[in-house]
Amino acid sequence: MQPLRIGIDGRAFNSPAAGIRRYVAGLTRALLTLGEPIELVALGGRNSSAIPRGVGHVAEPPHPPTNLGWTLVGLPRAARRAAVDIIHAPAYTAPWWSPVPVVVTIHDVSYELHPEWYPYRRDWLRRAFYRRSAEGARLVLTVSRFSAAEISAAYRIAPERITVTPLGVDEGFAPGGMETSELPPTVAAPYLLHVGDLHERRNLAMLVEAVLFARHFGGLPALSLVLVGIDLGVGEGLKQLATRNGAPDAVVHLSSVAERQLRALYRGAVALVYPSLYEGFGLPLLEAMRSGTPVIASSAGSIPEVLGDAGVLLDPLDQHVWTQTIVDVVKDEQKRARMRTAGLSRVTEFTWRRTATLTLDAYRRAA
Amino acid sequence: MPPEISVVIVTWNGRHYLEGCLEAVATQTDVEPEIVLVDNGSSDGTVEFVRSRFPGVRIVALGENRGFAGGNNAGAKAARGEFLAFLNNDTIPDSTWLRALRDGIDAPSRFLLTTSRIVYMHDSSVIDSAGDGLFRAGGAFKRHHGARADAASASGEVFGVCGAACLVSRYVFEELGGFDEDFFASHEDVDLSYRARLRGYRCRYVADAIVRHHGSATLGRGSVSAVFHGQRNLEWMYLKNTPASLLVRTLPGHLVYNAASAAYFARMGHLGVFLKAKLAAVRGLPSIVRKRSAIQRTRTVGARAIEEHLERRWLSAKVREKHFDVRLAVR
Repeated sequence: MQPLRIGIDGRAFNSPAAGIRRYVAGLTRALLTLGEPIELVALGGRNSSAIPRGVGHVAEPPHPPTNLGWTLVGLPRAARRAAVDIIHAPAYTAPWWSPVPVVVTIHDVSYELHPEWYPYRRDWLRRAFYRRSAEGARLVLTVSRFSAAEISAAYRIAPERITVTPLGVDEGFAPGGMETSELPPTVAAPYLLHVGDLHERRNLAMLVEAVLFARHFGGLPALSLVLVGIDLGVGEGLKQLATRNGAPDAVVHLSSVAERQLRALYRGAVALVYPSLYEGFGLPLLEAMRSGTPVIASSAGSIPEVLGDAGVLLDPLDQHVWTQTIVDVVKDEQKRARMRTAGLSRVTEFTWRRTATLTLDAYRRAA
Repeated sequence: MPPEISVVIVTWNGRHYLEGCLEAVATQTDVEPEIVLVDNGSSDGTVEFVRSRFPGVRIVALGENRGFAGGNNAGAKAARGEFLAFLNNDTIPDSTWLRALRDGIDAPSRFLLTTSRIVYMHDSSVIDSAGDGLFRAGGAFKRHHGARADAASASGEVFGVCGAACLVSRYVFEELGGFDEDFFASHEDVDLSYRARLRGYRCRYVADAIVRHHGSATLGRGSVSAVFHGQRNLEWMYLKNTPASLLVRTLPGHLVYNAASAAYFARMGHLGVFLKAKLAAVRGLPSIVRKRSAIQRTRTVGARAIEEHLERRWLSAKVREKHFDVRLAVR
């Protein structure tokens, strides 16, 4: 039997979005360990160490500039050059015409349902591009049952054309002792951790207020909030909010950090706080659970589906209940121990191997 | 128990300097640093000499010359200390040097990089560098270069640390991904400091941290190689790091600055190298654009926080510096 040759949009391996990079790296590594007759090729993008060993690479053929030009012209040409049987576009944008079937992964459709969170120029163009990509694909992959229902509703795609492939988590995240020298020098315990880019949808102003209340009225004057993620427009406002309330040290923004540093930050945190108003999956939930870090999260979007009963789920708009829960969890060590055990047990079902098995099954149906 | 400080020294055919340098680092007051010597493929028996004379020194032998940036990155990787001190091979630090640099660190105020008072070996009353400054027009300069030592007796915030003798939190160094190895040598310390600033970290000059320095021992002052790397890397440093709004406002000044530099190097008989360097800078643009977008995306401070640390008047400072360098070259 001929092996199935799968072409993956190579630009995803160096995507600016950390979640996308994790997804393609985790997925392709696991696909290669399944022992199935398949071959993987990264189509275009830089041939860097971000592409796992065992995945081939073909350079980008000439194509019009911009991401649009690459996706619509370059990617199909690269697919023909590499003689693949199927193209997997791992993040939203897929060719509309292609010599072989296309599978596209849509991680969430918040931009369709809440355009007010994305006040960017030309965002309408992005939305149209994403929509056309989803409509043109043979199969749509997504990462939670919640997202599957949202995509089906937003794009009027039949549920049969959508496959749910939940994400996995890297084994490098692990519980363990904490050496203070591993923490960034600007971070001091006790701290709450938020991982993810800083924008409206993440509901961080509410979170900063809850932390300020916990400091002033909850008897936790040294508590701080560490934000790991790229600032997409709200960072300055959050820092000002803390400064105006006389607590400039309550918010520490770290932008992007090295992998080893991120792992240490999870291990050292009192809890991961995740008040997002909308998520398609929520990878930091898995990373926290695997690190043995308690999770306090919003009940919106896919979060309950991922977290299960392993953490505390709260109304993302009720700042009062967030303040109370934060104070409770920080002060109650036994509660934290219970959450930690529950998380470690819950997270075992989320493996890249499962993601890979479900994805390969979808490739075969599409090819 | 990992050491508090690792001192990283990169050397390339500099065996004759190393004895004094290593001796001084090994006998620091109050601190017992780990010493990491990175050998960039010397052919003068450096490795054997250090192994027999300083058995406590950890040696990272690279076998090839990876420059100042690559050598220091390799040393930092091998180092275990919470702080990394970078020190040139042609220096002799005072016995309280490391203690003073370490005391200058103030994490809550985000001072996580400190830099030394570097004076000349042959005349320690003259300053080589009191930390690095940056002009709005894009050029870098050594603060108080050529001035009398007492001109630099006040510690305080500076734009950047001087790679010849500075201390950097290892955490910050790793967060930034270390020195940019494409620079090879020259301006990589300004580039590192700039990237640290864009993440909200600050640099402090510590007047009590005194180091005596031969100066330009490896590349040679005014040598073709120094001009080439300096002039190429200056453009890369400027184009990678300057936030867009500031870039627009400083670009005219940057062009004037370059015109003046061209005139200066023409007079020194280096116009060919100067032009070659600018051409090399342009050739590296695709990679610079990629790095730039990553840097600007992950910065946590605005353009104004950078701008307030830039020096406006470059002409007078440069004239003084060049006069001094010419005098130095003549003696």
